[in-house]
Amino acid sequence: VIGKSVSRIMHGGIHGRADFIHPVAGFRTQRTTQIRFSGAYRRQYQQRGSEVTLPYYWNIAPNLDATISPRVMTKRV
Amino acid sequence: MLNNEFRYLEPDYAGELHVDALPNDALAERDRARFALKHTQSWANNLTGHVDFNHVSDDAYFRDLADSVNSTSLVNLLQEGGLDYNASGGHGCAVQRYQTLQDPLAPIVEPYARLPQLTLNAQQNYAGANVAFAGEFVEFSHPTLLNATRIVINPSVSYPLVNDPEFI
Repeated sequence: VIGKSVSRIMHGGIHGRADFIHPVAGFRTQRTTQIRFSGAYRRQYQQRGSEVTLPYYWNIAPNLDATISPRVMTKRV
Repeated sequence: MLNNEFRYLEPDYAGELHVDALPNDALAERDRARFALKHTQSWANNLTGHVDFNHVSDDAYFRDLADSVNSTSLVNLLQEGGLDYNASGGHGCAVQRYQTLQDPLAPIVEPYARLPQLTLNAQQNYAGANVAFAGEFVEFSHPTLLNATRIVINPSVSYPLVNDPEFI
């Protein structure tokens, strides 16, 4: 489906110690290619700082695919 | 950090490759990386092969960088390869070892490696007798504990006393 967009917001906790907001939004550019943005979330662990992951899904062929996800953690880069 | 996942599916082989890399981790002050390959291959005449290889750059990799809670507790990473011949009972050879990720606060004994494991199974019918053979040879290897070899040989001959069911 071309131009379909998805977004949702999840609230959750890990052992009651982490608090994060995780919005996910995506859109399809073609029938076979999809770009999905996965949002930022904050943790109280303070081991990574803020973290943003931007997965790029690449459907190379019907039997081949790749997911490339650049991920930035402000404390670790 | 760059996470890469690549999957492929062909009639004769299929697999999945992960290569994750974080050069110059500012907190750990080193390069961090993960490599994982799952591959299965089949050739003609019942011969198949598989590789399941997982490696991370350091013991704290999953504790620091895993993106799901359940993978933070991974301790033993499988590193295995094998060939199987699936005819007349099935034979196989495999090598299997683990990368053990130690927690400095709770060190554990790492598991034995199997270098190699050979299995031989056969089944044949001779004049109403079922002749079967099951055998295994394993060379257990460990960097600090006792090494050992295990041989299992289980030949058997059986005459099944089975009649055709009778009915009136």
